[in-house]
This record gives sequence, C-alpha cells and structure tokens, in this order.
Amino acid sequence: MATVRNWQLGRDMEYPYEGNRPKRQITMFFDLNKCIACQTCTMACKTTWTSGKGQEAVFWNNVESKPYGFYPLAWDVKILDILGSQPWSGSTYKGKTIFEDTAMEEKVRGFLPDELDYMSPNLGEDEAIGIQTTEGDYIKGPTHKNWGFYLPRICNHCTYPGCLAACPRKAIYKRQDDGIVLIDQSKCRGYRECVKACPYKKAFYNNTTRVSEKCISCYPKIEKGEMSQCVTNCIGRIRIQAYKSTDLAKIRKNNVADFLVHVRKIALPLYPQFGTEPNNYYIPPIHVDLAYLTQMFGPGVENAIKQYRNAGNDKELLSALILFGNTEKISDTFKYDEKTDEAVSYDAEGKEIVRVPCTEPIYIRKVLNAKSGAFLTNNS
Amino acid sequence: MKIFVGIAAMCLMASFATPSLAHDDTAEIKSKAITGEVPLDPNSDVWNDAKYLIVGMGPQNLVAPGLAKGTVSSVKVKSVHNGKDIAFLLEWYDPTEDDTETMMNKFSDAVAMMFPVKPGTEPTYMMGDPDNPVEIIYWKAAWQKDIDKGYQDVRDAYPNYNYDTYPMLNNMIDARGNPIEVKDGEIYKPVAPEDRAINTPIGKYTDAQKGYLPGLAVNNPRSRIDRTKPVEELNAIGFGTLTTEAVEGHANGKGIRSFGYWKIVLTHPLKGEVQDASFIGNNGHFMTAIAVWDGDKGNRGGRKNFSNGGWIPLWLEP
Ligand code: SF4
Ligand code: SF4
Ligand code: SF4
Repeated sequence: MATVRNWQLGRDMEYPYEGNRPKRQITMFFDLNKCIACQTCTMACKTTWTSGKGQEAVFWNNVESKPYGFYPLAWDVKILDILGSQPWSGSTYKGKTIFEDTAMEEKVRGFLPDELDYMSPNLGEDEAIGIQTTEGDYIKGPTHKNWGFYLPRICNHCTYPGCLAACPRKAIYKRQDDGIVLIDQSKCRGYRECVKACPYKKAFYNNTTRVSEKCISCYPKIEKGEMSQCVTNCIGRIRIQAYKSTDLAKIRKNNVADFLVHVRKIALPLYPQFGTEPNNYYIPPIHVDLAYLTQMFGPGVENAIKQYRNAGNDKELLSALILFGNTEKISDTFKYDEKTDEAVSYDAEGKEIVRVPCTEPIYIRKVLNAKSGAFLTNNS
Repeated sequence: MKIFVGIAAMCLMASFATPSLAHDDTAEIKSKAITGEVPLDPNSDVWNDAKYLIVGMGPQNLVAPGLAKGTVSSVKVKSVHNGKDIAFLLEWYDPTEDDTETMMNKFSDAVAMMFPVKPGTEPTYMMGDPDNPVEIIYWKAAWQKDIDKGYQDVRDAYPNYNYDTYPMLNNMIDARGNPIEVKDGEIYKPVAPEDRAINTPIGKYTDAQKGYLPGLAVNNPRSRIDRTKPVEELNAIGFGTLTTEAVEGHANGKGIRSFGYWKIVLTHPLKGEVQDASFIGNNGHFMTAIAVWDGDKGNRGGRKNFSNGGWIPLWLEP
C-alpha cells in the first residue's frame, strides 16, 4: 500500500499504487437542477458504443431517479452499507475509504451485483412519497418528503480508480494525457474484479466476449477536442466537459473546470468518501434534502447551493453555467464579456469557440398578427 | 481435521468411482509407463492400473485477491506416460456444476497444473519467477461446454431472452446464414423467432459485425469462438504475468461429471516447444503444482485453491 493525496477528502489515504496524476484530467459536469431524465444521453452512448451482442443490459451512461432509482439495483446503498456510517470532520473525511480496512484476501472493498440487478434500470424510480407504500410497491422501507431528482452517471475516470486497483492482471490503465481510464480488451481475462471493486458499478462484463468493458470517455472525440456523445446529445444542456488542472497549485481561474470545482466550489464529486477521487462533478439540486445531498456529495453542498442561488448576480459564474450544452468543442478558457453581456469560450490557442448571451432576448408577440390577420392567443 | 475428513471421504468415494490399485503414500505422483496412446478419456481402463496420490488443497491467500477459506479440500491425481506424451487424471468433489461464463455473476469450475519449463529448476511456487518460467495447462468447464455444445452465448445463457436487433442489421444474416432482406430501412421479410438477430450465432458474423464484439475483434483468447480443445497452455514468470501461449497448442484435455465429481484428463507431450514444460532427462524426476477453482464460490484468477504442500514431486517410471 502506498500513501496518496486525495484532496476531495482533505487528507492522505492508502492506495495499492503510488500516486501518478495525469498531466491534465478530462472532467464532466452535470447541473442536476436541469436534468429531465429524457435518457437521450443513455441512448447516445448505447447506440455509439454498446449495441453489440453481450451488452444487452449494459449502460455506460444511465440516468436514475433518486432516491430510490438505481442502476444496477441498490448500487449505492449497498456500498454505503458495506462501508458503514463514516464521519466527516469539517471538510476532512475521517472515515474509511474502499481501499482502507480491507480483508486480507481483498484489495478493495466492494460487491459483485447479481445479474438481475442490471435487468431493470431505474427500478424503484416511482417510489418517492409515503402514499405509495401500498400493495404491490417495491420499496417498503422509510419514505421521504416529496422531493426527487435525476442523477445521470457515467464512469468517473477516477484519479484512484477502484477498478484499476483491483485488477490482478494490470489490464486497466489511466492515460497520462487526459486521465481517461481504459480496460485493455486484449489483456482482460474476465475475472470481474473491476466489476466488484468499482464503487460506482461502472465496469461491466460482456456476456458474449467474456471480458469486462467500461466507458471510454468517447476518447476518439476527446482526442479531437470535442466533447463526448452523452454531453453533446444532452437535451437539457445540463453537461459540459473540460480539462481540470491536476496540480492544485496551478489552478486557472479562467478555465471552466477549475473555476467550477476549485474557485466557486459549486460542482461536487459523487460520493467522495469512496476514496477514488472521481472526476465527474455535480451541481447539486437545490430543493433536495440537505442531509441526503451531503451524504451523496460531501460537506460542500451548502456552499454549492448558495452559489447556485446567487448565479444571477455572479456574472462570471453565470457565464460558466451558460456554456453548458452550447458548444461541442472543449473549452480551454472562458470569460464574461461585460460589453455584450455574453459568455465567451476559447480553445487552447485562444481562438473563440462560441458566444452565448447571458440574458435571453425577450420578444413580445402581438395578439393580432397584422400581416395574416390572425389572432395568436390561447385565450379563445 | 476438516482436510482429514475430506480425504477420508474422497478415498471412499474414489474406490467406487474408479477401481484403483493402491494409494501412493510417498507423496509423489508416479507416472506409469504404458504402451500405446495416452488416454484422453477419464473413464479409460488404462487409469485402473495407475497409482493415485491425494493432494491436499489450501486457499490462495498470500496475494490479494485470494480466498479466505478453501473451497476444494483435495484432488486425486494419477498419471501415465508412453515415452512420447504424458497424461494426468485429476478428480475432486464439487457438488455444483458451474460451466458457464456467459452470465456476469457466474464463474466456471476449472483446474490447472503448473510445471517448471526447465527440468531440474525450482521456480517460485507462486507462478514462477523471471529466471524460472512455468508452464500451466488450464482446463475450464466453460470451455468444455463450448466444445461439447458450441460456443455459449446470450441465447444459451438466457433461453427466453430477446433483443430487437444488433448493429448492421442490413447485413444481418438469419440463424440459417441467409441474409435478412431490408427495404426502406424496414425488415421486409417477416422474421421467424428462430431467425431473430439474437439467435444468429456470432460464428456467422461478418468481420464488420464482429467489430461490435471488442474482445473478439482484438483476438482476446477469452472471446475465442472456435476452440477445439477445452484447455489452454499458458506461461507465467510471477503473479499477474499469466500469458496465453497457445489455445490450440500441444496440450489437450477432457472433463466429465461423475456423481458430484469432476474427472479431468490433461495431456502434454514430453517434449514440446521451447516454452513448453519438458519431461525429458533429469532421471525422470519433475515437479508439478495443482490449482482448482469452484465457480459457484466465486473462484477465479487468484481466488483459487492450490496444492498446499508446495511443489509435488512427479516421477516418470521407466
Ligand atoms: S440527455 Fe441530459 S437532460 Fe436528458 S437525461 Fe441525459 S443528462 Fe438528463
Ligand atoms: S468509476 Fe469505477 S470504472 Fe470508472 S474509473 Fe472509477 S472505479 Fe474505475
Ligand atoms: S463519455 Fe462516451 S463512452 Fe462514456 S458514457 Fe458518455 S457517451 Fe458513453
């Protein structure tokens, strides 16, 4: 075991390999206040990458309805249960990660789901409020007040991947150039240690080829400077991708990823307590129970919600948020253009990629269309 | 104590399963010299005259991932050779027959024998070392099923499962190998259930269609659909270095179920390729080690039982 730094936990932690951060890390952002669970992202990924035989129940991208929707079934409550109740002290995690306190015969704490757990994606999605605990309903346990939200998930291309740590064949690797985590399709022997170890259950087994597979972060697009399929096809424009600095001493305030994660701290990792330092970041839904959100996104939730509510006054933040879903090209830097009230995105050469108005222009339509003589109204 | 009981039960069962000459109490596998071909059939009469050795098994728990508790307590081993090939008969009790890897949470029963590549060397018991490579002959129940019943795919694992289609339907062939006609993007010819995409064996896929099966497209031996032998030959120079040497090499094998037991024959030439274990010279003295996996208990890879006495002496009777 080596000791590595996990900034999301505010402490050092144990990991089977020495720390080796990539030069830069591709990160994905999700504004959970905007997701409508249309599953367009799911289908964009599915039709691009996992439509083959043996991948029938595999969704590298999935969207689940929280708190009771899951894919695979109960994935997060199971691993939370295995880890047990664990404390944070301020922004320092005092509990155990999946790499710590493992049994002698295990490298990572985890569980292998049942095959049926994959067969009904989002089973439990309708179990939201007390009145639904009648006959025939799936969930019999405690219910919650009337809130819910949609959680889109892909592989986190973790800094300390559980999948990579668990693979006895070293068939899983993390690329230095962009931090993408891949399973070598010729080296994997189908032991499914990665499926068992990934706390997010984002490593999958292909029944036909008998080897494991996972999200490839659409690397052919990323290498061309374009965002992934699940990002560019997102109907709700809730997503964006950018490279985040991996050296925390060299944060760039005008980079979308660094700005959202390290400057405004509005985007938070999913279940940071697992210890993998995941590289997808979520803007928490502001109307959801705070205790639930804190369990899911760690101690930064209150600040994130405050920032989000203030975005209308914070033009820089608004600019970063408004770039979501407005360009296919990966942004290197961005700024708020005061003169035009626009968010502007630039590529690595400083060339402008896109300009988006921060305030949508308002058009008022007259009730009587003079040209056609038609009344355009629903108040008939 | 547990192991002792296991061995006693094994001896009792074994005496019913295969009439045996005698138990060899020198803790050495004595490979009996025979004339004629070495048998591939676990039920061949040739085995009756070979002495057996009971090898105690223990959990691999030196390197994670491993096993906390053993799942197979002992294996009964016999061997014969004919001056050209050597054969081993391995028998162990496993009440569950686990012969599929076509379901994400199912693992296959398996057995492997490990040999030093160079006679007279003593490689590290843990899968060899860089100076002393080992060769492994690996039989797997899932491969035996592939051989006996054809490559096991989604349809075999889930007989009632259906799936609309797979990529490149325009080039899709039905289960009989006939092209399915497509007109204006619609399937023109009504597709009978037995001709549905899910029923089309991947052996009939075009190369382009196989491109949607990544493991197969990059020739991962795991995805091999045209096996003719249920064994693989592998080389290793330490943990995590296991490399498939040949899927269709010189080694062969055959496994059958018999009253809750697995009975597996493994065969190997006495002298093969340079990377193969050699059984020539050294006054007939060699070594082996055995590993057994119980799929039902999630055994795979390093989660295995191995012969817990270290290397087992193997003597080829002249
Ligand atoms: S496409 Fe976008 S809005 Fe639709 S489910 Fe996916 S993340 Fe949510
Ligand atoms: S999310 Fe899971 S599969 Fe993806 S890198 Fe992290 S541990 Fe590996
Ligand atoms: S990044 Fe690409 S491969 Fe990964 S989930 Fe999104 S669409 Fe699928």
